[in-house]
Amino acid sequence: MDGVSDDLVGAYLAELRAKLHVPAAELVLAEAEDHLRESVAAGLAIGMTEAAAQEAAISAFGPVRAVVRAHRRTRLQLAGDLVLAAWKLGWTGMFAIAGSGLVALAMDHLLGRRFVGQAPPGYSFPAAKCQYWLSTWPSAHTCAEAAMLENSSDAVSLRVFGGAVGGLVLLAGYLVARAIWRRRAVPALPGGFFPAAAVAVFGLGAVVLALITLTGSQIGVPTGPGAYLSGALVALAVAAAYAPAARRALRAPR
Amino acid sequence: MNRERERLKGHLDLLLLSVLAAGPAHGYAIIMALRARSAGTFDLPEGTVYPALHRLEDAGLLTSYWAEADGRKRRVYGLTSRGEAALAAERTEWTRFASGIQAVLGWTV
Repeated sequence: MDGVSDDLVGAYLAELRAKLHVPAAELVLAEAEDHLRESVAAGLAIGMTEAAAQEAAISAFGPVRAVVRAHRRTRLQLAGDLVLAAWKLGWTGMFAIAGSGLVALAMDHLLGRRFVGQAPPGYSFPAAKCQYWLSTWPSAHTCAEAAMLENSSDAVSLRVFGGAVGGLVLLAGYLVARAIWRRRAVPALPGGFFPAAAVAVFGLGAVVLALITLTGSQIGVPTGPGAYLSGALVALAVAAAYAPAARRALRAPR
Repeated sequence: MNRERERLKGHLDLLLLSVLAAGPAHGYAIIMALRARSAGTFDLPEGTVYPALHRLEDAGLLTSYWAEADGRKRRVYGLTSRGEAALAAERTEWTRFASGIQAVLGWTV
């Protein structure tokens, strides 16, 4: 017999390689080969023939279809983990919004409230809004000034309060949901999934908000560049915070 | 035999954490230790245990590194501090569960 047909473990691993479609399959196969070869060595040590030791090792390891099935994550496990990841992105985002409110407050103090709250020159506001804002800000002399004070105040108070409360509610729900889910299923997503998703989502958010700032575009209530820049800076900070974990996960062999 | 196998699968995470409490080990050594300590009761296909080890590592309960052995790559697993805490918590819960069941059944092992 030639060496190739004698190597039952080699043939088993070749079949496993052909059928195993998982991330880092080569590392899974390396682990399987190490196990099988050590099992063969143990069989030889107790007096088995080479062929008998290989057959016993393969039999104990399990049929290829059973091993492939064991490596396959169920759709339910993946769906549950994706929901948890989205939920985590949600509360992270809410706290980031609260953080951007604090950045807007710092901008108010360092750069003046116009930087955050001032509408573009020449913009005219509806009369009803002007009436409301002037009554809210009696120190304002013009509608534009009252609008600026209102916008810069909202950029701080609404974001900080709304972001903090929303973040806490989502976080509480997330912790409960995760505790319940983890009792039923171990993680089905790779460990680096959430850091990579956070880098992508918050990185994209930072880019979009930065572009809005640079082009002077307006979305919703007209405000100063600081309104979007404060968001861009916080989004960038969150993406940067997760970047090392995402890079480690992408580099690490599995 | 199938019911026993299903019961074992349900407790596989706890069993693996328990074996690794003795110290880091590679997959083959872990599975042989499981078989020896269970007096042969543990007889799941050995290749189906590795996904559980990988999932425990993803959950942060285990850590692993690659070593060389006999010219082959070998993956060695060990408990993290989170894994140690999880094992201690599972041990407490298991003791309470087993005591409760024993009290109801009135069987002694």
